[in-house]
Amino acid sequence: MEEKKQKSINEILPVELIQRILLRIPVKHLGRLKCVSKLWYSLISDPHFAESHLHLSLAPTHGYLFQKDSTEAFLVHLEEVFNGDNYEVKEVSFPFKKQPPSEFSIRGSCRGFVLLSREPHFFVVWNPLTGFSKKISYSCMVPRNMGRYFNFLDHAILYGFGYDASRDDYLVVVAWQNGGCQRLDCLSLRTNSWISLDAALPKPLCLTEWPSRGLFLNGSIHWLSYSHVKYYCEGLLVFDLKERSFSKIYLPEQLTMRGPTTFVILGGCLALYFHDYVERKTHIWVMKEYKVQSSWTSYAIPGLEFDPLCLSNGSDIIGVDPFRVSIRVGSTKLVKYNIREELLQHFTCPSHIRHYSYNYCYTVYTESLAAP
Amino acid sequence: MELLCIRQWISGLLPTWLSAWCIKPVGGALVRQEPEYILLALMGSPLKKIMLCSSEKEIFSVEEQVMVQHSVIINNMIEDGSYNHEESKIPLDCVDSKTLKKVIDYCTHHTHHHNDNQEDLEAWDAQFLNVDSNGLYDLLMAANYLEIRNLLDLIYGTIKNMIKGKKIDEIRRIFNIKDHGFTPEEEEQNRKEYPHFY
Repeated sequence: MEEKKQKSINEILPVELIQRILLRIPVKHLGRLKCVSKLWYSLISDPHFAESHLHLSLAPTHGYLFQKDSTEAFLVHLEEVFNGDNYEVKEVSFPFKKQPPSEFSIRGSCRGFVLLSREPHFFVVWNPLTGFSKKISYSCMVPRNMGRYFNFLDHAILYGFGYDASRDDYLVVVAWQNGGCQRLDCLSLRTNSWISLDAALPKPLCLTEWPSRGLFLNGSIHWLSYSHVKYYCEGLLVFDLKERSFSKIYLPEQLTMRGPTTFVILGGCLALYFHDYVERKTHIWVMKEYKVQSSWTSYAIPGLEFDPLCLSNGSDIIGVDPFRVSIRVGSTKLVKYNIREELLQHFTCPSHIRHYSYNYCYTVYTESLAAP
Repeated sequence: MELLCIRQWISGLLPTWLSAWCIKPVGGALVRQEPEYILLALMGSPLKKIMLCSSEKEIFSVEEQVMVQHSVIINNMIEDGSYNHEESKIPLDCVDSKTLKKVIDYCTHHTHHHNDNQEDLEAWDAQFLNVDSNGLYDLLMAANYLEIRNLLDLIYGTIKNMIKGKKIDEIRRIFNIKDHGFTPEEEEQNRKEYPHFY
């Protein structure tokens, strides 16, 4: 009896049970737990562990990164902000060498990594939780006569950041237009090299805006596609990262809405939303089963200015009521609704912290220990 | 009585009524209506018992339905016919008597009280898990072996709460980790780099 009392958890429990315990700890605590014992260190550091943790997603934690202007951004931990403990929205310190930092733009995220673009001509892939960052230049793509006049905003048509599981590689996909010529390039983070995929680019490309940001889900990057005949969103353009080819998902008839439509990933599903100025609601349509037309489910959030960001606890929708300059003077608010469209909680950001919805420079990422 | 007649009539129409009205658990999915439970008893199939044998060779008799609802392992044994009600007992060599009794308590309570409100169940669970660390590990290993999903979730949740927000030294104390396995240099380096963790 005495002897048993002396034993530690590492000696009593088999390794796989300790691993399962650790898989259930929210990712942000795991860094600290590496220091508890050598066994825990090796379990947490194992790349398969990070992968399993991401897949298991028992309690995914989301970071909401948004820009105030071209040199400053803020980070909010969306699950913590409603814990009622005077959450502090922190300014983000990026892993850039120059201090104070020069301009940057948030361009998307994938599996715990955030993609930023900076001039002249490079991207930064950054994991805010682990601090890992890598710089990738695209200057070799710039036509010689353009030089610094070739910039992302003016010349990119669509872009996206995703993960190719078959090659265990993170990819940045960008389509450019220069003069009359359209090109498609795919950057591999693993090899730090670009592949030209011009032939795969569908013509014509009907997108909502240029550059159009893609969202990564299920091994493909998706963009909203507009019908060039009628003025509404007719479907999604899909780029499969493994096959390196495009396809389309058409929306069911009742979903083709008029007016600006945006999309977001909620709880691992694609969701389209638009603001109904007549009913003063935000309509959200979620494709519960990927590529299954009949699985589109609708929700109506009773808030005109509500941009959904993520799903919490499996069914609560957290979103932002962004600062709309033209309508009123106010603050950026984060709000949480449950599945019955009832308001659960809200949090008001300090007035100096504002998220402008129209410049689209924000992203929601799932915190992860993944390393490329 | 009326209800019973209707259900009997319905059951006559459905040859697979037994599987339709009884539970097919996935380690803890408890969906049962009390009338059917009574029906089972009144229809002449007495509440079947099964025998579980601990590592100390002690035999525990427990209702089949209780264990079948909670433990995927036991459910599979009953389903594939490898368990003979007349003769067999299920040997659980890695579970001692004290732990087995607790596991049976948990399953029995959750079967009979599944209609209780959430707060009462949670309070009972909290009381149930009021054991020392070693008892908790034994329960975890038994629940893992028997694949009892809801008990596993409960224990993982408890251990997670024991870990969250605590400093390293305290975690080591709670889990009795005397030998952390780092070299003195590594430990010193960690403490210097992350003093706020400790």
